Amino acid sequence: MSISETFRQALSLPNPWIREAKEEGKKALGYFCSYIPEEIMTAAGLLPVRMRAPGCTDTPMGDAYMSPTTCGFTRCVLETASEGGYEFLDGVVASNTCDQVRRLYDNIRFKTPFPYHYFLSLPHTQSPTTLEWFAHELVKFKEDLEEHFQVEIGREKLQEAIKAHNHSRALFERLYDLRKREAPVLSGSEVLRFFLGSVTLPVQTFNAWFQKEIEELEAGEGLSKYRARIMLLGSHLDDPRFIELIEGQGGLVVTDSLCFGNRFFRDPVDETAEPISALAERYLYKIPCPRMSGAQAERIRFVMDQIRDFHVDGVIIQRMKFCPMWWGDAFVLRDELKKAGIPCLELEREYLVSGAGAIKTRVQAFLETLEGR
Amino acid sequence: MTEDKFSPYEAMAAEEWPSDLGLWKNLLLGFIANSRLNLAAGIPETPMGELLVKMFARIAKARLEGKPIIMHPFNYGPELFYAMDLEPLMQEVFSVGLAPFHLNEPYIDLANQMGYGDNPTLCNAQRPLIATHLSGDAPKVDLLFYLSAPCNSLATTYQVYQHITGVPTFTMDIPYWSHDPSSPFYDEKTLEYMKAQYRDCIAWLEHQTHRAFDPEKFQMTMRRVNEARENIMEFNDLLKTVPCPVNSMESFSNYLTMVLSGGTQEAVEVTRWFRDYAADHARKGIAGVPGEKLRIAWPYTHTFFDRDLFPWLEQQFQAVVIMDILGFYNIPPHDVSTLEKCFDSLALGTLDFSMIHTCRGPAEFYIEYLLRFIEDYRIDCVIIPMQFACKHAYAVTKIAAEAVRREADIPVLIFGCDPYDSREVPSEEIRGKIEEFITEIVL
Amino acid sequence: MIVAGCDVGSLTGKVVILRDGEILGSGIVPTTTKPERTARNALDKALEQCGLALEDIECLVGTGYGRVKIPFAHDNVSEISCHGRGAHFLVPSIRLIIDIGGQDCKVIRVNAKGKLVDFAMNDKCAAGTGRFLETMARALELKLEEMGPLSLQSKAPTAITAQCSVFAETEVVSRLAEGAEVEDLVAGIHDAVASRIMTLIKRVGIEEDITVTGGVAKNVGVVHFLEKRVGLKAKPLPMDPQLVGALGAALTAENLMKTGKA
Repeated sequence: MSISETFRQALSLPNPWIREAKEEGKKALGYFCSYIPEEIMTAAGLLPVRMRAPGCTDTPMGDAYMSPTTCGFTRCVLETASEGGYEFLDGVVASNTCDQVRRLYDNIRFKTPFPYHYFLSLPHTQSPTTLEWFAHELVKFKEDLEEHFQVEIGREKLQEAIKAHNHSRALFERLYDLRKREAPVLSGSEVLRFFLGSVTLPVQTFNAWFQKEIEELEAGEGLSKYRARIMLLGSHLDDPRFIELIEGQGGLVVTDSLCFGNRFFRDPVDETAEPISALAERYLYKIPCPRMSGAQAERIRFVMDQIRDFHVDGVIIQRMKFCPMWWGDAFVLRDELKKAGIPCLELEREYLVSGAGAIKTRVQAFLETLEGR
Repeated sequence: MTEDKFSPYEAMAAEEWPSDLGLWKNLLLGFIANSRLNLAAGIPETPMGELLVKMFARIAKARLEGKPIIMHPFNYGPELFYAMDLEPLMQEVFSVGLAPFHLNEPYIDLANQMGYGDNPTLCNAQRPLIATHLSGDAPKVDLLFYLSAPCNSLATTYQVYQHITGVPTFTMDIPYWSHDPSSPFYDEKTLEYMKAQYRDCIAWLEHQTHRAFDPEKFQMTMRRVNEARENIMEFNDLLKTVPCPVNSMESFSNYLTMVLSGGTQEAVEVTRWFRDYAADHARKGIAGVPGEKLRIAWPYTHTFFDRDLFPWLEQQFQAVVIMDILGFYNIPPHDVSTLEKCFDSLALGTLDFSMIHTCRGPAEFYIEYLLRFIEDYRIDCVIIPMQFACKHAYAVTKIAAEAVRREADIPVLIFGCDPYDSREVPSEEIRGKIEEFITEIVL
Repeated sequence: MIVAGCDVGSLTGKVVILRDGEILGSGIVPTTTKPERTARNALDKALEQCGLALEDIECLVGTGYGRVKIPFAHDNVSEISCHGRGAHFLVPSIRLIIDIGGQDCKVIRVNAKGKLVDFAMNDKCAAGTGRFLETMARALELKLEEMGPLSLQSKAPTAITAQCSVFAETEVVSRLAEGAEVEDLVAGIHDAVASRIMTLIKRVGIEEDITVTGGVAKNVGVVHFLEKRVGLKAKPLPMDPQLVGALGAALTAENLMKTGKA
């Protein structure tokens, strides 16, 4: 089986590797946000699995408990939980990423409990004061995992985990460099599959395959047949089919600001410093998502830098329906892009792909405007 | 022109004001007119009319004289700002203040036209801020202060405002955990974290205003807040009386007083007035709603656009709404004997403020609060208007309703609406639902 | 050089045949269940009109809802671009095309060359589309064709404030019961449609000249209230607006031939 085919397999939940890990007696922990350090879970000997709800088509329970005007992701997760779709997980970890995840966690505890729950109160602002609180929350998390799973998470284990996850980050960085080329080595939808693999497979397994995959790609020809180079940004996106809709029209996604993307891997953790402090520092100050207050200017700067470095022709902002934070960000960004003369398309979407026709038409028309210039 | 206590403010408004105070002037005059109308109609007067008019006038005066104006959200008490001689402006004047007169609706439409969110993605409590600012109808402010709680909609809109105006801003991160050692969600560092952020905030204020923090003034301010809180706690206790000595709108007053004037002598006097008023009624056995038959808990905001809804409830069903999530200000007095203790009080007051207290953390904060209230205040039924755009509230109501039915065994009504926009779900429909609920289920 | 454009929409299929910028023939047919068949029917009709055969067509571009299913098309382009290009060809001063359909509404901005520059569309909500007018006509027990002319008779349009067409219907019925004049209500309804479309227009920016196309373009009321809001008079197109998309597709085909991309 080719590695790409392997990664396709990895997308289902649970996948063969999760099952294998569990058969070996390993425990799997579901978690919700790129602000939650995987390293702590890996160091605890657990398998961190980013929460997704693939294949969820209908959400009667989600609608009833979360409300019909809550984002589709949280409704689909609650639905899947209520149907026993997460039986392979030994627990779930959430944070105050956003109100919707916060309430999802409540509904899970009340209606579809897991054997273990944990919540992290992570700061919405960046300062020495909030950094201290972030570290405090991480220590508590570590201690709670130690108590519940009867493990010891010492300094060495943390440093090992940091190294392993840093290695993934370095590989992603290498991959992204290869996307700067005039013929980028990989499409955006394929890259997303790699990200999904990295948050579903045991980190060492992932690193080994990913390394090989990149070596092959480096030598390859890359993709030269495309109409425009696109930067994609926006809400939680774990459905490669959405990116396929864009790329099927000829808009090749070469870079992004996505939590399964740049905002996931950029900026490694300092391997020389005390592990908890290093983790707090890296996670608090990584490329901010709209939940971070006062970081608007930094988010805009990041977008502009990416446009320059990846020779981007146009930006697509995708917003999950009912996501307040990305609407606010899009409002500001669309203006800034207009001022800088960078074409921008906004797409509203559901958690899992629907209304493909309408999306394709808009993307096609957008690409046509790029060609008219 | 009428000569009464409002005349000086009217005279102020007769002068020329800068263009960004255009809407503000209309509001000042509107609230004066409203108070006079109420007086003429024989509606018994409370200090609220004057408090509101004074608030508009004070802010206009600050703008005209160059006193720094600091904008803040509607679930935050302005005591620190008064202590630092700044003029606080509660942002939700543009939504909560305008909705009863439907004056906010053109701004909602304008926000839609500008492409700033829609209902139900972003809350109409804050969207008019963007619309009024971009159309030049909001007073210029010098500083902005907001919290990460209770919700993303608030934080998002303030963040956007910060970006488009460039106004210097301080955001306080509100933690998820409790400061109460008896709570299962207790974190012993919660209070320290808040105080540390307050140290940062004060340093920022000093830097922005070129003024030093005055510990004496601060302590005096916190003592006044404390005095007001003592009055309010007595008032809240009196609400437990059957029949309730005040009516539905009167039980909202203390929140309004504290969010607009908390820390001032005015707040002490107004809260004292309401305490005395309630005590007087309780002593004489006078009911706020004559023939009180129903005691209602309303654990969300008023449907602000329908200012006659509670009077209607009172007339139709002799029902009194004893609590709503914003109106029920329930912060106990603290030990404010030292400067350090005053800082504790400041931090605790922030965490326990209306809506922050119930909505910033786990569902239990909301549910326990509601269950306790139902028991202490002898509530007969619960009505929850569900704001379509309110993510944190809408997603907790069902489990809350289940808990109420299970533990308190009283009926719960939940209906969808937009408390700020009369056009989404009109009054008639809301009243229809409530009528059906009360007549068929409750009575 | 003979080229053709084929626009397969949800209600009709249209073809325009062009030779060196001159329209030789056209055809409009009702949509069938299969886009290929619709396209073929429309093409046959157009070919018959000018006495040509499929082999005479050197390049054919497809557009519209069924564009990817046209077997004899050399390429496909969004109906947004085609609409813009077609309208611009007919009246070269045109820069903004407001296309109000039965189910959706698009605002299209083109440059001096007729190339698509920006666009905004609403295909999720009835407000600002023909569907809104249909619903209202039913609620008021009027014929759809009567609505436009009736709206112009009002001296004082009743403002319809409800955002959503579902609530607007309730609002209109209650106003009627309260004794509001029908023409005032109908005028208010048309202004509400115009207001919704203005939101889209604002996103794209106003630039003259403007034109209004689509099924609802025939409604004099909507055009009137829209012109009032935009502050410009809409230029009429000298061709059945239904064919504009297919014309634009044909022009795209011509361009492909000229630039050697076909």
